[in-house]
Amino acid sequence: MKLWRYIVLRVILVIPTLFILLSIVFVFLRMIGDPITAMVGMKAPPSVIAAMREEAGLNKPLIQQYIDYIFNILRGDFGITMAVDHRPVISVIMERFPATLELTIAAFIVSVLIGLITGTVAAWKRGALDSTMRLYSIVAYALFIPWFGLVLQLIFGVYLKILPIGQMSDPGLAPPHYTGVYVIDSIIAGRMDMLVSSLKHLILPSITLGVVLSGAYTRLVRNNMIDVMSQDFVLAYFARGIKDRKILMHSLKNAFIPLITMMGLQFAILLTGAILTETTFSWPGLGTMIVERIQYTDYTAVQGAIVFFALFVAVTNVVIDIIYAILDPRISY
Amino acid sequence: MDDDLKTIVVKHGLMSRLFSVIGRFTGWRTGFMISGMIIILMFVFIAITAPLLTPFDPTKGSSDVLQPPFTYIHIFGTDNLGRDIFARIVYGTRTILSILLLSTLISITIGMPLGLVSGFFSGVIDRILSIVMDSIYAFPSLLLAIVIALMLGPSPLNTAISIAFVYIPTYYRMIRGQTLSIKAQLYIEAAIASGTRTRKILIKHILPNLLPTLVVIFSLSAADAILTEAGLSYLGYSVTPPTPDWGYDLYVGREYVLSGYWWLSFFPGLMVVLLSVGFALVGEALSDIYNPRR
Repeated sequence: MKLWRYIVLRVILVIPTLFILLSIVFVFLRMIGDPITAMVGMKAPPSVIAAMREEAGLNKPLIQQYIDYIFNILRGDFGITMAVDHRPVISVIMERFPATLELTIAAFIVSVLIGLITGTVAAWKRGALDSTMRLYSIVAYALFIPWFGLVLQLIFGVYLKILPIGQMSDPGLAPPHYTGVYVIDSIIAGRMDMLVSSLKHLILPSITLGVVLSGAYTRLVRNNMIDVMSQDFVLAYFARGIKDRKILMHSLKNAFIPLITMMGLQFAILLTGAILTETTFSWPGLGTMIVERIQYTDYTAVQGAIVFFALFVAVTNVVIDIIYAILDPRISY
Repeated sequence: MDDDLKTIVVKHGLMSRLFSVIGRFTGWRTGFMISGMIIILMFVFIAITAPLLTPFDPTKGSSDVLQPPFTYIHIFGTDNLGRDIFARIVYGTRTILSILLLSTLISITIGMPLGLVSGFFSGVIDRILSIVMDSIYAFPSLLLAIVIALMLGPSPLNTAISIAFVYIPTYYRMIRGQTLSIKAQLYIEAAIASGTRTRKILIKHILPNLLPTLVVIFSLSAADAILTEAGLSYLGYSVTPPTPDWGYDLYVGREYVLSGYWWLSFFPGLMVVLLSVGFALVGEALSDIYNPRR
């Protein structure tokens, strides 16, 4: 019963955070400058700018704009795009979101795998290997994504010619739309060729993003493993002569739970990385959508995507906190 | 041991503090610190002596387009407009370091006083500030920087402002936490009990003890800020061309890289990684010395 109370409380507590996030987005987009002029630059005549301001509802009083903005978001109404297609912003976002989700999940798996291996090695062996892993975690984080992605594209795409360097699948092999996540859609469609194609396209982007994020996990797994391995029960295992590998598995299990909190903290970094990874690999996700729409001076679409990112981060953090509370019975609130 | 050291550090002046820090550079920390400092100082040196290092103008094109690297004249080759890439990297060091310096100054001027006040006085202000800062902190940093940079328009100062904004919460949180732990120490309690004015406590007793924390946060967030700046200019929201800028050069060269002219993007990007690693190495060594885990 206590757990339920915590979950309800946590969900209620997210409301002020959401409110602040939405207000921050509003302040940045409307108070610092005129968004339309900022996006169009000096290219358009004043009458065009005035018309665009009218369309975006920017000629109303600021308070009225703010109230409209909050209420529209609460109703799930993100407005209509101002350029290219004039569609509801939310449908454009939903079209792009699965691609970002696919990339971030794949990258996340890569980073946790690398983190588990390198962190365990560092904790188990200590000494010189420990310092090497420490160095790895620093260098991995500093790998500038567009650069690292480009190096991988050069090696595997241009010189070795074994992996594609952009897009989500080969032309003609895009699976029919069920969820928008290509790997899942290919499986639903039962097409092996499509699955292979989308997996191949996923390799380089997810390794790029995954390696960059793995440094934090290396460090965390190492520290947790050292904590766990210094506990009495591990010493007791050693004393009883249990095999190293078995002890390792037991320690790993215990070192795993704090990883979940880390996921929440890493999530914003993951999305930041996704923006750069998507532009580097022409990946049609939310990141490239924002960049494209800024170029089209599509103010409503840009605002919608940013708000969506903010909501997504906030909700994910709540979900992760709740999972953590369920998994770790020692925590009571 | 640590608490003893802390009291010694608090009691004595800067010199003894410096020595006690140097004494703790052992093992990998020395290697990290020295190699990090070498990298940073090298780039600072390059930025200062830029005109002496290259005879080429980083913004002026020539007919020698897309020349391969590692030749006597063009060590990193030339770009699509025939500009010497080494010259652009050398002058680009000035761009990134000045933006970094400016944004750090802005972050500290805003983040530190807020953290100090929040940590020392607690109460309602602290709670409101914490929620606001945490919300900004949870937001994807590059996206935040893009939004601000977009609204302000491209210029080095505006880029610095937008990057500064991203790191204010980092400074705020660390300074607040440190202030809380210093405040709980006996000598602050003694100062309050003896009727020392609050402003004096803040400035004379707490502020100097925040300096080590400040150095650690600086080197760690600088490593990150470099990546954010490069990301911003890669997406085209930082300085305007033809100002030499690593991130932007990487972006422009991308079109040519896949046709085999890899040096256009490779070298500018490598510099971003190198400089970021330099700051991260120093930050890692320092943070381990000040907050040793084991």
